[in-house]
Amino acid sequence: MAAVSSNNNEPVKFGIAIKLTILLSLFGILASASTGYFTFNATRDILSDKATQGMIDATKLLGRRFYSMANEAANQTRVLANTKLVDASFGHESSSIIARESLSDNFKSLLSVYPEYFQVRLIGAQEYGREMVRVDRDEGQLVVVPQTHLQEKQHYPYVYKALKLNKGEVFFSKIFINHERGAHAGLGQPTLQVASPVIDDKGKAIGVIVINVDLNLMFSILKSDMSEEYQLYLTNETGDFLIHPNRLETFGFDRGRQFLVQETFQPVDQIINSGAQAVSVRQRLGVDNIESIGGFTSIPFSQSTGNRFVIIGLTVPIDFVLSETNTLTETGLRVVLGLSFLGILISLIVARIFVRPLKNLVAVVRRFSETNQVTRLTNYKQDELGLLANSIVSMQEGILTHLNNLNDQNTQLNHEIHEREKIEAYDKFHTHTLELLGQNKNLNDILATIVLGIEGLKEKFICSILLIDKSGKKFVRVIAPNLPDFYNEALEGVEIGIGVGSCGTAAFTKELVIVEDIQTHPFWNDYKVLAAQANLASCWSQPIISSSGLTLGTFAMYCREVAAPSADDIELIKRTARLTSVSIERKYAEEEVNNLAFFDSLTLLPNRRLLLDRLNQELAARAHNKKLAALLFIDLDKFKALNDSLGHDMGDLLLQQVASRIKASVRESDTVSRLGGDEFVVMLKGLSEQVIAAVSEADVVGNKILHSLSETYQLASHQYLITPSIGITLLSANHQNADEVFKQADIAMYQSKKTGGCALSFYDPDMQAHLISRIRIETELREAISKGKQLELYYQPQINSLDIVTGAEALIRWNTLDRGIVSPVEFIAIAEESGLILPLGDWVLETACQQLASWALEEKSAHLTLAVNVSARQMGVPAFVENILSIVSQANINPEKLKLEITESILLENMEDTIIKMTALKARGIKFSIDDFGTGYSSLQYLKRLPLDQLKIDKSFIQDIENDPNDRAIVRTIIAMANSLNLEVIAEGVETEKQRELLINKGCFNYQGYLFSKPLPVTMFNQYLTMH
Amino acid sequence: MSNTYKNMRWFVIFLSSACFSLAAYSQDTLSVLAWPGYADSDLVNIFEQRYQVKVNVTIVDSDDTMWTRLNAGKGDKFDVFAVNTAQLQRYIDKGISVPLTLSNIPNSKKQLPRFSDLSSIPGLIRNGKIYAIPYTYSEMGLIYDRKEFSQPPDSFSVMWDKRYQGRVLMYAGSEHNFSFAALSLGLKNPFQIPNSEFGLVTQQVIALRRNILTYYEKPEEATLLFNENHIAVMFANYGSQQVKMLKETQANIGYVIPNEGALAWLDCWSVTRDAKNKKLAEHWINFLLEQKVSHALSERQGLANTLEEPEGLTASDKLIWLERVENMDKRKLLWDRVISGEVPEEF
Repeated sequence: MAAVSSNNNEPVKFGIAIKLTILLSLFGILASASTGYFTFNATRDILSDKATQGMIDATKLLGRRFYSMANEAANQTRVLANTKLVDASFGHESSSIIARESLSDNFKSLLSVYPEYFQVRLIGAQEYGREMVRVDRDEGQLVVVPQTHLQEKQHYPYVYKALKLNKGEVFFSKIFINHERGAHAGLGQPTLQVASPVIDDKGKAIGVIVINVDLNLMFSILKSDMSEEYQLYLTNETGDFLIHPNRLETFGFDRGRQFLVQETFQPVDQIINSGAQAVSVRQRLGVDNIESIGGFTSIPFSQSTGNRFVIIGLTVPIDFVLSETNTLTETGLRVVLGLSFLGILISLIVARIFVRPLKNLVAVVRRFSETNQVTRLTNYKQDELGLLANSIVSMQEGILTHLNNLNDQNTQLNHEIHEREKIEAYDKFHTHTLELLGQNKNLNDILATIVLGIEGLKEKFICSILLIDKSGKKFVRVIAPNLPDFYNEALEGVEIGIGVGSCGTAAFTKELVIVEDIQTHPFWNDYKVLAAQANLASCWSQPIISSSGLTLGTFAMYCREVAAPSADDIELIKRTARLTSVSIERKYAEEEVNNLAFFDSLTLLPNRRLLLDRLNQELAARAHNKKLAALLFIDLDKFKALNDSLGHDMGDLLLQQVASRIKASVRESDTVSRLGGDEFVVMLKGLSEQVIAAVSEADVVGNKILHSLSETYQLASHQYLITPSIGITLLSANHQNADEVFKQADIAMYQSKKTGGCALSFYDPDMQAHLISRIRIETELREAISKGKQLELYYQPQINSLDIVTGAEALIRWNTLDRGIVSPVEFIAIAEESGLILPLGDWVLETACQQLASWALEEKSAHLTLAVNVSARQMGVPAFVENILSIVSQANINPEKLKLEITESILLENMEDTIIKMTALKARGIKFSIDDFGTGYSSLQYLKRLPLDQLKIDKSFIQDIENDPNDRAIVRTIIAMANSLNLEVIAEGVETEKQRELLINKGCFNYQGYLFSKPLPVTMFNQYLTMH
Repeated sequence: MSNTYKNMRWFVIFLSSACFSLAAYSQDTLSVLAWPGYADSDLVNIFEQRYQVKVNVTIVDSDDTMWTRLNAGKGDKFDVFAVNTAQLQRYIDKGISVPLTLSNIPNSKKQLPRFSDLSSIPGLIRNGKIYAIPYTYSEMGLIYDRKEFSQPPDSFSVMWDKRYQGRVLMYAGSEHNFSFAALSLGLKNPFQIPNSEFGLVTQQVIALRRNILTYYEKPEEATLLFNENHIAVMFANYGSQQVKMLKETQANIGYVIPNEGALAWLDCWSVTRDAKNKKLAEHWINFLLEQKVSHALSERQGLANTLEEPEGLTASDKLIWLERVENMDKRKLLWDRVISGEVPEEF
């Protein structure tokens, strides 16, 4: 009701009458428009489909006409070849001359009947195929060509091929442009020649009858009954246009060019290459780009000359065909407009009739809601509206009665709801506090939650909790977030007692203290100034008593006005104090248990339980934490003896010193723990991601501990030495549980013991072997570099598409005395980690430059470039540029022959610095190549900025290029990109001829790989060069 | 797998979009106008790498197109082009072709004697200056059926031999069918037929017409005609290309350069007056005369190069390089009459 009354004074702005009118009109318009649109479209589609089919039918019809006209010509030659007159025309007698004259008359009458024929001839097999009788059409006249102008034609297919036919067979020439001089009307026209042999009684071919057909003329006759809008096309079986609306596009082959139907009308390709009979086309045509439809049909002809066919096509602008639908559009539009107008009119009338009584009703209802007066309506009929009017009146009466009852009930309900809400809010707060206890929150947080929770329930009050120290005499902690700091600070350390405010008194008397007015109450004499400063007027305080009866503190509620608590308030204070007591007791108990449970009381180090807990956490984190961790087991060999000889006190002292020495040897984040007795365990976290490096780091820490523990202990007046043994294991994702780790570290520790103590062992023998091998390699490599004797560069040829060796990549080999050739895979990583990569890199560059210098002396090798790999660490040296330039200038080589290969990862590490250095070197002529290109997902923006010369496609893409279309696509794209950046491309790891072929097809012309040669020592490389 | 594929696909899309957005930076450019197969992209690539330049190759397929493009006033300019010796003359006349510095093309010394002796090739030198360097050629020898001849025919006159009437194939060429007839008649210069001799030469052309089966235009057509009609001898307008094609059909044929010598076209490289960097254009010519590059031309295109004697040809074989003829139009008119079948009495 309330919602209605707020609006009912306003006039009806957008009434049902208008809505109804609009809706009905819209419906009318939409219905007629969509019917019109649908009809129009459907008709247009049907017409367009029909027209397309019609075009195909038209071409088929045209084809049949063409076929029968060609056959007609064939029949004419056949009939002529068999006439007695032709037979009689051979020979030199006068009768033959007369026969030839009569024959020329025959030819003339033939030409006058068939306007598309432009030449009819009898050609003899003798005298090099000399024409015997020939009638030409020439400028509208029929001309009998005189004897002297008759030509020799045996070298034309229509003669030498027709002469080989049997009696009654017919030769059809290809359709061509007639270039034969003297062809008269046919010269320069698309021509079809039809020829049939003349066979004498001995069965010998003595001549041929030839009819030349002008196809342009023939087709203009064929399509004479069609509209001008229809365009005709004729092509041969390969698709060359023979007839085309644009004459320049015909007979391309005659001028060494090609205009193919399938290029203009793609569907026609199905006829040419897939044997389709007919196709339809629909596309834009000509300079005006007119949308046209059309059909193309293949017409076989001349079976004796194989499966020859021509293709006939017709196109027509679609608008021409669909001109019928345009009338339809106009009519449709008119009908739609008319119907729509009618719709609007009807809607208006209907709406008026329907809405008038409704308007009256609206007025009645409006009056009722404004004044609560009931108006009776009389002049309503016994229809639905009359019923509605009556119902409205009785409803209004009913409403008035109920309204009063409702108001009473509502007041009652509101009160009940308020009470219930209060209880629910406290329960919620209570439960929340208990939940916090369960969640291991610290005590201060929990108490603050209680204080804020009560403040939330009792809006005008500020609460505080004061805690008493263990002696039970002083307040030690104040939790009152909404009391001023100066007030809280003043209470801290205050001794409890009667007259020490509400709280001091409450804590001392263990009774609830209600002070309604602080300023006048004796308990507050000493503190009322302070309270006034904090703007506090009343304070009710309840002591917090533990289950054992000890006073833990007080809970107080302050008010800014003088106030007395209700019974509910007192209940709330007491309940809160109880809740606080439970919380405090629970927290105190937990803290005590914690200390006992997780720490070793002697050394204060984490005990086994805490260590296990942390170890388990670390193991669980293995799956996603890449940083490795290690567990060290430490055992003191002579501890037992000490205990026996000097007593347990000395033993304890030693253990405490051991604990502090171990702690001093590790980082804060590492865990040092005592398992019991003389067993200590250290867990190292955050080691390197690589196993080797992590092992090495654990090794360093282990040794540090070992040394520190091996030093003399001063135990009271005694000096003492012990022998520690350490076992180490790395934590891995494979570890099932902590026990397994313990066991491994334990085993390793016993290994150390076995060696006599004061030793350190790794659990994994391989790991240990790795470590030893690594140290050995490092030492030997350092020596090898300084002496330079065991190191050697191998050269892998780089080849171009002509098999010319264009250069090589320098690859390092280390030939040790005892282990033979060590793979770079084994020692480069170590060199990188140990920093040996710097002197090693210098050695490689120097050696490579010397090699370039020596190649420069010989003609066969002077052109070679040499690619040298440069690591990130080398590039990071500040003097990198100067260093390279000095090596280059010392070797006195052409810097353009030196190509530094860098990996994508270098760019990621320090892009700006790299660009500066590369640019500086590039300015001096040195070339750059990106190694392993395609393996990094790095930004391509840098490619544009880097002064690069070459991209080296990684071998992983080349390996599967034969089988994997993805790899092919990647390679193709890399090459395209390199081209647009003007970079050279080289593929490495080319192993098969097929790979090379694929690469050459994709535009990669430089290769490196085993297909050509493996990396070779310099002497063999030079031999290879000589051979290629 | 599908995941890898997706990654790869994105990588590809990323690369492709990147490569179209990055523009090439400018450097020296060489514009080459050549015939199909004369400048394969890998060879171009090697040259580009070696000289750190960009090469733009435009391919033409007819003499007329080449003439139009090199005469176009504006738009594309070319530095170097390939042209046959006969056509070259009009380019020299018009100043489009400019003299070369031979010392910049040291590889020309490695060419076969018949090419390195430039003065022996008519049209390359004018006023003591060299205008072009030979690159590739094709001679028009005689193909014969081995079953018909125990010894290779030593003269083209066999084509006029009545014994083979109707079993001879000739090319339908307006200009050089007269040169060929003149050569068979022993005229001193088949490209400059004096008026007094034209009648005789025309009769010779007609005599050949009367002895042949037909004229062909394309090598494929010739191969078909040869095999279908028991042809005994054929004038090989397309030289070794036709030999190769016939041999592929298992035809038992031989190929010979008869004693008269064979007409041959010779394509050369010449530098244009538009060349911005003439030395670079000469480096290009020199590069194409490298053994491996020239060899690639022969291997891939079946065209003879100027460094190695092709199979079936010896140094003693006489090649007569095509030259500009005394009157192209006259020959064309006469030819149209001959091929239409006019009898000798009409001439």
